[in-house]
Amino acid sequence: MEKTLFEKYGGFSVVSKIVLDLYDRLLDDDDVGPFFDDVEMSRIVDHQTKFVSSLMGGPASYTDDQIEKMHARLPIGDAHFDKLEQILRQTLSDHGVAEDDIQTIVGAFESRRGLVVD
Amino acid sequence: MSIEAINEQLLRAIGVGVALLDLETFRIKFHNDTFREWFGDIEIGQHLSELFASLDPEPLKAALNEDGRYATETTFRVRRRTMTVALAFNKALDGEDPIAVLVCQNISRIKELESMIDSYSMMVERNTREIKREKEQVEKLLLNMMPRSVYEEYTTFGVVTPRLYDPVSAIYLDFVGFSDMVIEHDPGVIVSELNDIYTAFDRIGEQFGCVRIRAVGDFYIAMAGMPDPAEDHGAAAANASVRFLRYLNQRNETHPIKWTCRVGISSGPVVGSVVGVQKYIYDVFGPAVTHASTLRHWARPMRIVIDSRTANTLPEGFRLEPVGEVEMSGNAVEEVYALEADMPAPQEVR
Repeated sequence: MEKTLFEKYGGFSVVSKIVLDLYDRLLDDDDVGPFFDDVEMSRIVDHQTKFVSSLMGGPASYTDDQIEKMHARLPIGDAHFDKLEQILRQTLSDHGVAEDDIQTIVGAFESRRGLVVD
Repeated sequence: MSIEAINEQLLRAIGVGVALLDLETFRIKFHNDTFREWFGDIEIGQHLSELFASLDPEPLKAALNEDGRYATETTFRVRRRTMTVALAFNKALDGEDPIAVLVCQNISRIKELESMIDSYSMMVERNTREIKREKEQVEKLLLNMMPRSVYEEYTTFGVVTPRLYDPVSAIYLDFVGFSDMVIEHDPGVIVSELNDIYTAFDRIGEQFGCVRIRAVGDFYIAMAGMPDPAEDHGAAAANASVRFLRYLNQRNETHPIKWTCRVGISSGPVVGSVVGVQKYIYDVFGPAVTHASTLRHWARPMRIVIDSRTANTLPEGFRLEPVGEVEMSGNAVEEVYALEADMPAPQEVR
């Protein structure tokens, strides 16, 4: 059976570092960060863990319906989506994820744009 | 620079928040830079309760008086980030004055990690439950295809060694007029009735130590004396077959579709093995199965015909009627018997 990217990059012990780094970068970012202003820490972390895990083929997968519902009340624009994509790309790159694999992960992220952007 | 000055510089710069409290008044006497960074602009002389509104001073006072130390946590937001700081108060003396040294450690990362592990373990647990469910489904499916001991051999070693079982008894059952029934009735009804009947046969067989090997269309084949050898395999097959007939007879009294079967039983050797590579199936073949199939042709509707080898294994109590001689295999002719099931005379059934 072919390895998922989640397994290829060392499973949870490595992906957890990507998740926490992404969490820091999102909160520090003034474009994307404000979406998390009133959200509890544990919920943000939970969301990020599932987000990265599902993009990398780990043990979480959101259905398109779930993704749409989760973001329905948020005024997310293309610029926000682009910014998050940029942060995601940079974070993965800084953690040694190969360019081809970044393309795959970001491609999976990009394919959900329509579900998230207003 | 004096040692005191170096100490103070260090204290101010370290990544741990440090403050000194006057224990009489609970006001801040000193704090380092990290402490101010976390808790905002603090003035010397400010009361502790102004800093930590959620901190109850009473248990703190009591613990400091009793044990000389107290530990708690506080959570607050710095911009959009949730900070959790562990507070440790230790009683000390500043010259003659009783003070508390307050050491604060930033444990936000630990809390974030805890949340992440919670989230991850929940995902893994859910996945594990799903995998377990799927495994059970596969197990159920495979157990329908082979006896449990064969299944266990297969899952442990990945292969099943073909094995000779000798002697065992084979039950071969089919339904009279099945092809016509299939055309006459709704396919869904026929399949559902067959399911009912085969499930009942399985249950009856299990009671007597018989295991179903195959049920294909109107053929039902079960074995007694395998995979675990049993001396009374002939009696087991006879007992189960008699109950098959009684069950069908009773069922026919209350159901619109009447099922009529005939049964052949033969004892002898068989080979049990998984056959096939991609589409594998557990199968049993050999003289006992072939003979049981032949004998079934000699059985009248709702009757059982057995060969002499099975008849010889039966204990007292079974009623047998010779029905003549049958050519089995290799031109050998042998006496066969009808096994009485002690049922009311069969009704007009088809």
